[in-house]
Amino acid sequence: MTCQEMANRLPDWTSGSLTDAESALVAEHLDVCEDCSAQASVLGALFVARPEAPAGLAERIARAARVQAHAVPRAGVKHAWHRPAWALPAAAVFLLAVGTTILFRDPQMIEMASALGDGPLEESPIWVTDDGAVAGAPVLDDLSDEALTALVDELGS
Amino acid sequence: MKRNDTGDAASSDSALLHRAQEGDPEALDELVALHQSSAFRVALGILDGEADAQDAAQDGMLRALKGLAGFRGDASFRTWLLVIVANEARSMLRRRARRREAPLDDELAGELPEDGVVLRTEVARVRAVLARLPEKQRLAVQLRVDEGLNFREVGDVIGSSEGATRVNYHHGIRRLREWLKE
Repeated sequence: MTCQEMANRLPDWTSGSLTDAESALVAEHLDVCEDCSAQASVLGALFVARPEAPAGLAERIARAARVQAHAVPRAGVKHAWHRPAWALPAAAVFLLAVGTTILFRDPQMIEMASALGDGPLEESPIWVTDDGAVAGAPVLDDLSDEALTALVDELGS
Repeated sequence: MKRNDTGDAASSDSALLHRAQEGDPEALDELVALHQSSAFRVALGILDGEADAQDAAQDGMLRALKGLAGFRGDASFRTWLLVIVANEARSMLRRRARRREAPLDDELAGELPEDGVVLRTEVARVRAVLARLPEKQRLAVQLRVDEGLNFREVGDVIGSSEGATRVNYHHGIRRLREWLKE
């Protein structure tokens, strides 16, 4: 066995994880190689000096793990989908915009609106105000979820 | 010389893991008992105090147990766990450093205490000398010698390639030999 091979095997020899046959080969080399023997001494000192976990750490972790296991849903259980707070108002605005567009593309409705107004109404895909809001759109901010649901249902029917 | 908690860990991990993933509380306890010392040592190799190392070991192990379902077995459970613990310890180190507003680099972390503490025992002397190594060299030596990980696994934990890990290990051992001769 070469010194290079020894350097790779010494940690496992130190920790006692080599087979008996491998250990015998290492021991044979150590008997005749001063350099590898010195390295083995250093590794032995390191292994002996390695700190163990303080008493009570395992219990402390196990206790916390049990608490965590009860607090966290089991693996594989899918979380219920939570609708973000903005979803319903956004859907209402979208449907209102689409509904308004459909409504005012109807030639009969345009004619009726023109008759009520000062002149002919331009056939526009959507009415918008200067700030880009849909003309005539209700203020949705203060509506409850139930009211918005009713509005969406009404627009959808 | 036999390991306390490393030797047959890999072979027993598989059955234990399966039980733990099924939610068997005894299996969780066994996993913790089997790997707590390794987790503690890795954390201690990054942090410079036992109390912090205990906290990081605990937080890392809890994080690993919480994500047990996500463990795919690409690496050994031991390596996967130690990567998580090392990350936890590094995060803690960064938080501590920010709090102190004085970054703790490798060289500073490796200084021996300045309060004149006399290190009387050989074990304490070895630990103190080990603590002087830069972090990657120190962890490469610790993980290879104390935990029995191979160089690829050590590289996974310290965030280096297998080749760089070998270099760090051999540099570390050479320096330790010099310092321990003094």
